[in-house]
Amino acid sequence: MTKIIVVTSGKGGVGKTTTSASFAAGLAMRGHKTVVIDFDVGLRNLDLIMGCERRVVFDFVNVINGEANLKQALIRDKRIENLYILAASQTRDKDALNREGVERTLDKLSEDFDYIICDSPAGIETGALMAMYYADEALVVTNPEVSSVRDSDRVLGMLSSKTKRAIEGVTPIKEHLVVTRYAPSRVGKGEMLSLEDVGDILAIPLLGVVPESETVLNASNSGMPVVLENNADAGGAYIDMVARFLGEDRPMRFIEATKKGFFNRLMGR
Amino acid sequence: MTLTVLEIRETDCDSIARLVDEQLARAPGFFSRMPVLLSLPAGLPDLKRVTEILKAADLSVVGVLDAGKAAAEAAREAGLGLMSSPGRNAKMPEDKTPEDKPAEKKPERNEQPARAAGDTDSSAKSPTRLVTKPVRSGQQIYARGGDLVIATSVSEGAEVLADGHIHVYGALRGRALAGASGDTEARIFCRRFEPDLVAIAGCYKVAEAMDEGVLSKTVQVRLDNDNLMIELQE
Repeated sequence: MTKIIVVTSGKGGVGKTTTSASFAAGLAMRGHKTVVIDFDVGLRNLDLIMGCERRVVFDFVNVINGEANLKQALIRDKRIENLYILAASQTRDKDALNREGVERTLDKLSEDFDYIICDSPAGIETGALMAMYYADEALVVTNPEVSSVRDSDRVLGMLSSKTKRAIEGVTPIKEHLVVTRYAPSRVGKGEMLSLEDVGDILAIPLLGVVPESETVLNASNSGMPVVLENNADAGGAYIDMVARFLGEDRPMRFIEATKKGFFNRLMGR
Repeated sequence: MTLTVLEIRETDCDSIARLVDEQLARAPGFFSRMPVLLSLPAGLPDLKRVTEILKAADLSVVGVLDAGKAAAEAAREAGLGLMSSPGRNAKMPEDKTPEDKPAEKKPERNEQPARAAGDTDSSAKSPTRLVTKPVRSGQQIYARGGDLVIATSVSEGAEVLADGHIHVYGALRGRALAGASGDTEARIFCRRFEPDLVAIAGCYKVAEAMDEGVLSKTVQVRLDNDNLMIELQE
């Protein structure tokens, strides 16, 4: 049974695309046939993060409009078996998405794939609504700061009222919290909300915590999902997250500030 | 079934239109397509125009409440129904013109609302609304004609309203407005008090004006002679 998972947040720049890319790559690495779709029509980014920007011929909007079939538009990842990307169109806007077209595409993908990851655009308008409408589960990506948490809260309200599952009154979308750019040392200084604060406000189960890390930026710039970076803290966080999603029990990492040793302090590290 | 009564105190149609606009601007979309009964003042406004004004404001007028003779006549001409409030005699009260205010009639008028209130109590099947999911930012929940019980939390930027009391068993971080149609006896009870705003029967207090000592505490909010009291509950 195919699962459709939306990665959403409300606010922009919190790490939706990074999470979509790494989560999809992580699932594929575990042997699940996975496709990740960029719903951010007009501001397409996922292809860059996945490093396949020079291989995009047809995109999601072409498929919706019947100008190309799925086989033509799906881009196979060169590094990971079982991983496919469906890019957004850069020249169109969100109005190019319509419910029937999206449903048709998702139905077709469901015949072949185990997981369909929908990378939502920021905001609460058409694009975001289309990305979440047919979802079975949702990863709500939040930074530990008040505006991001409030926007995520708004999105959670939409997940439980504006989506197909909500409207038809069947089992609601399963919601997972993903906290990104978490810096325990700054939480200690009161510059950031703590995990407890975020969890208290949003009241959904925590799937993973991704630490603030330079490797994320570097990986993004080089078109590599951070989950593929060996020894990277953020990469490890995504590997844990996928494992938890698949039902494994893994303790949360990166939630305590590392004690600075005397030497590190001396060196200003 | 509950119906909203729009009490009109003005007779000048322009000021009615202005007041309606002001009221609706406070809660855009909230009254959309709501059926209302009119309660009319003694010197009747032009009913046809009033109906048009309200129609333009997306309200639908279904009838006139406790209409006197003149009002009943005007209602018939405007194509509106007539209704009497529960507990009232079938006999309509006499039409009252502004100069017609004899002192001896006052007790009778005072008595009627009291009786009406008593009747409502005895037939109190006020539909208490229970909410078990978190109320998220941007959501609005209104318990019309009854109490609202929220088993979880109300997020910042969410709004909960009730004509009766409001109970929040989690944290209240958004807005809570009890006694939304004017019941000054309504109260707000809350396990963890961190609201943006609380109001009872239109008397409100914003977070900034609240005493720090009540924040994050278990409190009760009630109205005491137009003073909004926020009291710690042990």
